[in-house]
Amino acid sequence: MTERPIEILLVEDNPDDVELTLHTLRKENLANHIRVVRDGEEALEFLLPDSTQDERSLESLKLILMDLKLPKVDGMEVLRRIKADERTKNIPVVILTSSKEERDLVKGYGLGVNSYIQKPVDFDQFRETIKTVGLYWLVINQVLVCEAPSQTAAKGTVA
Amino acid sequence: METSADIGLVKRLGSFASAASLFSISVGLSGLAGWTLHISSFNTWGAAPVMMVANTAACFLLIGISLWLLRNNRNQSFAWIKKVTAKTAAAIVFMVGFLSLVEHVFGLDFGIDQWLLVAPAAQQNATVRPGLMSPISAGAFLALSLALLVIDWGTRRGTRPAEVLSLAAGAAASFGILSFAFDPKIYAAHLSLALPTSVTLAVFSLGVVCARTERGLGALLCRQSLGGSLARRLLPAAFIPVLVGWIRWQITATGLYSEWSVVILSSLVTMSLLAGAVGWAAVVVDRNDAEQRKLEEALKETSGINARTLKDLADQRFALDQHAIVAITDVQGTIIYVNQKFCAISQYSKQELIGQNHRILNSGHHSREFFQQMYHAIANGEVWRGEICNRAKDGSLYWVDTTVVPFLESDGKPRQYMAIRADITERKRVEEMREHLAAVVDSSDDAIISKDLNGIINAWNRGAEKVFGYSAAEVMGKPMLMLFPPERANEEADILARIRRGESVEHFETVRVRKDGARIDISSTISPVKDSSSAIVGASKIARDITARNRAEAALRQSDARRKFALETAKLGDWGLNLTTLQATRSFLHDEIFGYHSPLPEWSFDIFLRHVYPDDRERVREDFQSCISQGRKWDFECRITRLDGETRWIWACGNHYREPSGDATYIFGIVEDITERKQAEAARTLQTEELQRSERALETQSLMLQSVLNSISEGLVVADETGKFLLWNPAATRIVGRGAENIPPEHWSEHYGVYLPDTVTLFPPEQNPLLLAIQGRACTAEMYVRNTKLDAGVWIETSANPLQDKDGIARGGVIAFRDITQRKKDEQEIRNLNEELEARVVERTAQLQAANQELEAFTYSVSHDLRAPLRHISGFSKILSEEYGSSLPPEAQHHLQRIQDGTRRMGQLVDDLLSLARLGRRDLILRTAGLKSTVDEVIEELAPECAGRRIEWKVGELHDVECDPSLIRQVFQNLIGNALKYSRPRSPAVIEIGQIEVGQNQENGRPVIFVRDNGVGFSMKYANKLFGVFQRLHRAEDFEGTGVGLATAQRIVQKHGGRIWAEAQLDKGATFYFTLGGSFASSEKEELEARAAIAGEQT
Repeated sequence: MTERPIEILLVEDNPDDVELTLHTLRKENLANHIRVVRDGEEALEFLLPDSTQDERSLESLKLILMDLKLPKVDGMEVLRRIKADERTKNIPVVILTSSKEERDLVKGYGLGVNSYIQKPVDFDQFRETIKTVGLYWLVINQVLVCEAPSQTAAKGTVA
Repeated sequence: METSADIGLVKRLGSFASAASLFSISVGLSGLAGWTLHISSFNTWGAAPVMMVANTAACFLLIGISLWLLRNNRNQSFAWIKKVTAKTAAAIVFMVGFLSLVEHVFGLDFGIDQWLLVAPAAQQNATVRPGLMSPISAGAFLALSLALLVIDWGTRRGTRPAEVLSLAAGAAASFGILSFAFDPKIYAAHLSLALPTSVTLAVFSLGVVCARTERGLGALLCRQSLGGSLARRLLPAAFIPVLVGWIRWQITATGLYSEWSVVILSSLVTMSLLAGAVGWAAVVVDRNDAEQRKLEEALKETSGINARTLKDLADQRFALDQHAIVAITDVQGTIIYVNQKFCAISQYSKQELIGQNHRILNSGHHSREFFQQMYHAIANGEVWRGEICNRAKDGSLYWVDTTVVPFLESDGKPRQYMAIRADITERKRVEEMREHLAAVVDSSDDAIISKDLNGIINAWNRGAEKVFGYSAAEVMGKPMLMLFPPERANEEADILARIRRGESVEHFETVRVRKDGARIDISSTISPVKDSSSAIVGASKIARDITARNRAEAALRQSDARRKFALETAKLGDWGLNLTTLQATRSFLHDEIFGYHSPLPEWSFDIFLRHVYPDDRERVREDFQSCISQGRKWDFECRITRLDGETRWIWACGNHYREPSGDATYIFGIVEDITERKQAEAARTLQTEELQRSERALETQSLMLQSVLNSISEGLVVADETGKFLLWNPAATRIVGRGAENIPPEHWSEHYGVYLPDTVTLFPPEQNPLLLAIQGRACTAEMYVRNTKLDAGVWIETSANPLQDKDGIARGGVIAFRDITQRKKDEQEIRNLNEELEARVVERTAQLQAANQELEAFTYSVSHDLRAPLRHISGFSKILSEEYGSSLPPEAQHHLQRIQDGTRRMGQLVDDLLSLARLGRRDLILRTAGLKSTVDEVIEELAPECAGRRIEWKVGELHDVECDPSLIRQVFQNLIGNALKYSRPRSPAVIEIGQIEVGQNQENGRPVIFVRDNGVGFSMKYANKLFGVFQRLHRAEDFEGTGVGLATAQRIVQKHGGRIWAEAQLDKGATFYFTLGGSFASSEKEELEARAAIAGEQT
């Protein structure tokens, strides 16, 4: 099934947070192509499906916004999986969390997270942050597009 | 002119003088009494009215006393006083008389008449004055008193002025008497001389004349010569004129005859009486004279015969006197006469002998019986013959051959003894000497033998008997040769030859033979005997048995040699000091001691004293004196200076040598040089002192050691190399339970119950530390001791060391041990405790860790979970206000704003809290960081806050410090943020950030960092609340804030080991100080120091 190309993956379990984030992204016109997953398992399923039939093109994925405290599979685990996998390791991951714990920072950066953002409590600040982050990763940042394996294989013959 | 006086007459005249003086005295007294008592008859004697005046009476009294005292010039007692008194009295009278006379003559008034009594007014018959004596009396007194004064004077011819004066006075007085006698009536009218006066004057004047009978008139009257008898006979004739005169006056008074006839008659009578008296006197005198002449003739004749006889006698006497010593004594033995020879031999003068008893010549030689027998004989009228030894005046004795002849009275009784003596002293002496010699010869122990020229013995004394054994009878008439031993027989011939030549053989030593055949050594002296014509008739030999002497001499020589040797070997100098001359004889060694190599020619006490060391001299001299005076031994030590100048010590000891009489004439003794001995003594004394000192020190030390040993709590045991215990202190006994016992080392463990630390195995003896120490190894060991004497087993810790003497040879060992039972127990407990503790620690740590983990989880969740809802509140309310705000009333907008503010604040609070909590867990990451840059960054960060405000930033030098930069950054953020916040009302706001160096020591000096603002400040009252969590000192609407910031800053600073504090003044601003590093305690000190320094700086 073809979908609109997803540019942002939002991994967030809190519905309020989801709404606020989406609201902000929408306001900044960055919210067109956002896919929201509600836990780690879903994120992993989305990003790293087990079956090839669920494989999709992640070429357009420019940003993964990830919360850490997720049910089922924890954010860090997801991060680890993402960064461990060839298909997804080049996708910029930005941790978006309430915690500023050093521990998380360490672990995150250890796993290769591209950026770590603490969600401000103040909404204005929150809005500002999301806007900046979004702008940066979606507009300014250049992504490395990764082909799907099948596509890669297909393209392989071309010199 | 020594014709003998008739003593009777002398006496009579003397008495008359006495009577006269008494008479005068009594008259004077009665006169004075008469005047005093107004009895006029005393003063007139019936011949009124002329009275004897008082003065006259007094004068009579005085001169009477004077004559009484002068009358007898033989009486020797108080002569001088008598004489002075008498003369004084006479002088007074003289003065009175003289003055009265003067008054009469010159009419002057001396008041003489008044000086005794006031004359009665009734006295009419006054010439000048009633009380004044008549001029005649005055003159008479003058004369008499003068006579008394000169009573003893006399010219060479014998005239005496006293007599003249008194006779003159007498004559004047007679005038008065005669006139009264002749006719009392006329007497009264013509004269002013009272009767008593004249009588007394007359009597007195005669008395004066009679007072002296040696010369002058008095003498004449007493003499038995022709002149004397004539004077005595004719003097009465002086009364003839008186008589005639009286008759004449009577006849004239009757008037029968005419004046002419009366005169003729009286003259006739006088003439005839006088002629008659003279004729009678002449006849008597002539008769006496004729008798005298006849007597004289006869006397002459007899005296002629007598003279011849006397001459013969005198010649005989003279002859006798030439030969013999003559003395005549009376029957009592009083010497009456001695002749010249007597005086010569007795050495007394005649005056000294005559009158003395013959006893004065007694020599004491004869017995009482001797003289008694003599006196008896001569008293019986027998002539006594004998030899007497008398003593001369000078005490020498002389012998006289005496014949005493008594001169007998007619009744056969002796009246005198005449002793005729011949001086036989010389003869006696010779006799005595001969006797003496004979006695000497006889009593001598020496043999005195006399022989003739042929060698025949003719004298043999007792001594010879003793020496040779023969009696006199056995040898008399025998030749001397019988005494000679055969081999010496020729000596006799030699001797005799020499004797014949007149030579003496002296001290000839030879051998003779006794009667019993024994040979004796004799020393004999043989001299020739001469007769009166000096011809040699024989020889006398004095021989002495010198056998004993020879033997004694030999012994003496030997003894002397031994003595000398002994002294020399003993190095004793030998000396003898003659106490009389103080010269000394001495041995050579003596002089040597004093430094002389050859003996001095002489030595005396003074020489010795000169050698004595000056300081000792006095002592030695005194000692010597006292030794002599007390006769004790002289024993002393002193220093001497030798000839060579060296000072040596000597010891001298001497004793008196007493003559048989007991007189000490000699001190002999020894002297020794004791310098070495003295030095040795001194050294020894020093040594002894040292020794004593050491002993005392040792004792002290020993005592100290003993008490130390007794008092220490460690057991100390010392054993010698054989394992015998030498020392076992009380602590040891206490610890081990037993004392030192004589156990061989291999049984020690067994006996004392010594085990290894495992408490069951006996300690191997060969490993016993003490034994090892004895063998020379120091070691330690722990032991367990359990025996029957101990209540409980004890653990001991021992340490043993070998004992070595100074040569390094092992002499035993010492072991010290301590009871460590308690310690062991304590150790065990500690271990137990430790284990417990560790277990607890582990537990706690686990707990802590669990707690920490919990906390971690908590904060983590807080950081996530709390924030999210806040975000939502903030977000949706914001959206609300933005999207629907226009349709909301302003109030609603306001509320929404407040909601958003609230959430913001809460978000801040959560952040702050989280950061505070996180701090606790976080370890410091120390790095040397430059604070300045940090501050600048912080200021930059806070720039938005500064927008629109005038702010003066004063950032001083800030050193690099070792810190956790991010945490410090937080501190600065907080402090500077606060400064900014609270200085908002100020314009300009002055914010100063800097550093103060505090502390003396640079390395200890820690910088104090401060942040100062000029904001609203706060009251120091609430300073202690500053750093409390959630504590705020300002209202939230004035100044926002969570109240956590400063708490966080404090936590951070404390983590760094520093301190943080603030000082502020309300409305003036606040300064926050903090330090980093250092311990807690020093930080407190630092804070105080800093405060002080700052305060100092600010003032």
